[in-house]
Amino acid sequence: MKKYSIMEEICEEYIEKSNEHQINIEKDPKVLKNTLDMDIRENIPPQLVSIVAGIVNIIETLEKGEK
Amino acid sequence: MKITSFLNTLKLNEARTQNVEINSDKKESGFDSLSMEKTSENLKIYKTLKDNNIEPTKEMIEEIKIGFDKLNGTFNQKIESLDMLLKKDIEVNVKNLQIIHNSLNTKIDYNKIFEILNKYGEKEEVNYDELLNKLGFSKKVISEFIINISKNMSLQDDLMNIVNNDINEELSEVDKENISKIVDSNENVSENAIDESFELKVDEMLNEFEKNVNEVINEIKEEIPVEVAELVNSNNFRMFLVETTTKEMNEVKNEFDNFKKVNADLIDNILSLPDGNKNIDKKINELEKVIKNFENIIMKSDITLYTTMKQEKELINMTSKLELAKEYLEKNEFSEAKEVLKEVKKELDKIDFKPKDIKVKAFMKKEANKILFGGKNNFKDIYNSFSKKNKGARDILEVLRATGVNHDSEMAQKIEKSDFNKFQMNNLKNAVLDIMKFNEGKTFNELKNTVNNITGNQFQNKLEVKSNVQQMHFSIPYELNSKIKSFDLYVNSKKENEKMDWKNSTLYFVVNLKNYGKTGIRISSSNKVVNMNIKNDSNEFKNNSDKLFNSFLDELSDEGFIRGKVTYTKYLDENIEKNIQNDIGINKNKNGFDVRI
Repeated sequence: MKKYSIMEEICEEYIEKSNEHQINIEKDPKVLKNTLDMDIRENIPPQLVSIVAGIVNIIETLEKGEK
Repeated sequence: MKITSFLNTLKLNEARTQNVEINSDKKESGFDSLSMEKTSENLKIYKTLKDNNIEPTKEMIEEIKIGFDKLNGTFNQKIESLDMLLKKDIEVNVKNLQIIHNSLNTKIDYNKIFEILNKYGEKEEVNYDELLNKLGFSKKVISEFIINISKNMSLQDDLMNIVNNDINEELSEVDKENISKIVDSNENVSENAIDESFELKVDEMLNEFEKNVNEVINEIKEEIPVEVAELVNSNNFRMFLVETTTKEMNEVKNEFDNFKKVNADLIDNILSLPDGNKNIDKKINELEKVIKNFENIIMKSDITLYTTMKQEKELINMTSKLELAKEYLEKNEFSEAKEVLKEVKKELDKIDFKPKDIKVKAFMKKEANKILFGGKNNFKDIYNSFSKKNKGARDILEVLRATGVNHDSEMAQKIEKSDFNKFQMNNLKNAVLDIMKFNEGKTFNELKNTVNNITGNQFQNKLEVKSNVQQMHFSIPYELNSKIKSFDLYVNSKKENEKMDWKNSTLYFVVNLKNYGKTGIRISSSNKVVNMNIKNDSNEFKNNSDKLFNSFLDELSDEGFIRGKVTYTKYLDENIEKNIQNDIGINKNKNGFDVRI
């Protein structure tokens, strides 16, 4: 008999619904439970993402050989 | 399988001990008590478990070694994979070890994956019946068209006949009237929030969008089969794009007006509450709501998908100011808090939603792609998000989402809301999972490895709920000479209520630049003061990059940061990615947070 934690049981439900509606989600509850809690839109503030944007633009400028 | 069954039931959490003291003497005597051979491998596994507050047993070490046998790479790489799983509180089993090990030691070959996706996209046939129907061609035209196809008549000639009647026509007055109706019906939704003097009048919108339509149609025509190219020239297609865009921009405009009104009211409420300790909690709670609303508008709404970078920065700056007001309130500095809130309200009043031309065009292309290919070519949108130039914060967020790192979290939220109608999850994980169903053999394995790699990346970014620090690692793709390259970003941040603290964070970028070689860029924010250290061995690098880095640091003060300085050092020829924990200067400690600059 499978021994699932509460989180894994919730994941089982997600997987069932995803199968029902033919949508893609991790199909192993033991994997899925580790990929759910981070939502980068919620957990990372816009100020940090803005820093990343600035550096990405500098990297692209340097790659093009511009100064 | 023995290793799986054992490790699946291995309750490492229960084996974790509190405040384990590690010194060499104790470690050795502890290890000695296991009656195991004192090999370097056994000792390293023992130490890794101990470092993660787990009391090792002989059985555990033996089973982990069996798991290691299934991994490629050096023993030290395997130890790093084990360490990452333990640090992220992820169950140690063979599958999870393989997933994390793969993502830590291999890079996704984006070009290869897009090549596979492209081949799949080419196989898709256009459903002309559905397409013509969606574009509003009459039933008579559609049936004639279908009959002609069944008679094997030239598809191209047939389409030419259909579109010749109205090709290149400007929108008729009736069309414009219809679009105005769409605008009116949307405006009614939030009538109160409409500003009469709003710059984007319907006519202006239409004129602007018509210009964009012509440009978009010319761009699309170069990428699609010739018979479809004829179809996109039709007035029906132009009308579809203008209508769809007008509707979307109008909805976004209304959303922004509502946002302004709701938050201006909330700020007014906070300002109207009498000062003093009695109201402090209420004020802070209300202010937190406003901050959350601002963050949502930047990170989640459609608004920042279309705004200019200047407006995006203004919104970020206002968010930072709101946080400053909150800090003042927490210190009972009411008049300072009031000043900042009044300033934000004034700025909020002034800001108007202005869609950026290039972003409107991107929306049109996306919609065109959707209607022409029924969403089967969604991967093109992923590529476009990687290749976009001059990115703002929201663009970068969309790049990260497009890599698939947020896929399962967003999917689960949609399932929770029974939101099964909007399942256009445009990211690499979703796209690859889609086409895995139609592939086998070598291609299937390549696709499976990509999915596992993305999942491993999700593991690396798992929320560390029990810690006051969050560590993350992203691989960020970008386009160079029509190829997708990527670089690594490591983030280490203080965390409050599951949210990373931008005021106390360190970001470390590791990139191999075509002209300058390996480069490390460390950006540390400590109580908002931002300092940068750039590591590179090329003689010309400092001269050629100094202006860019300094301008960037100057601009950060527009977003609430305080400017520090830029320093340059040599990029030592060592694997600095592996030493990131030491290098980025943030350590967990028992008493809280420690930042070293």
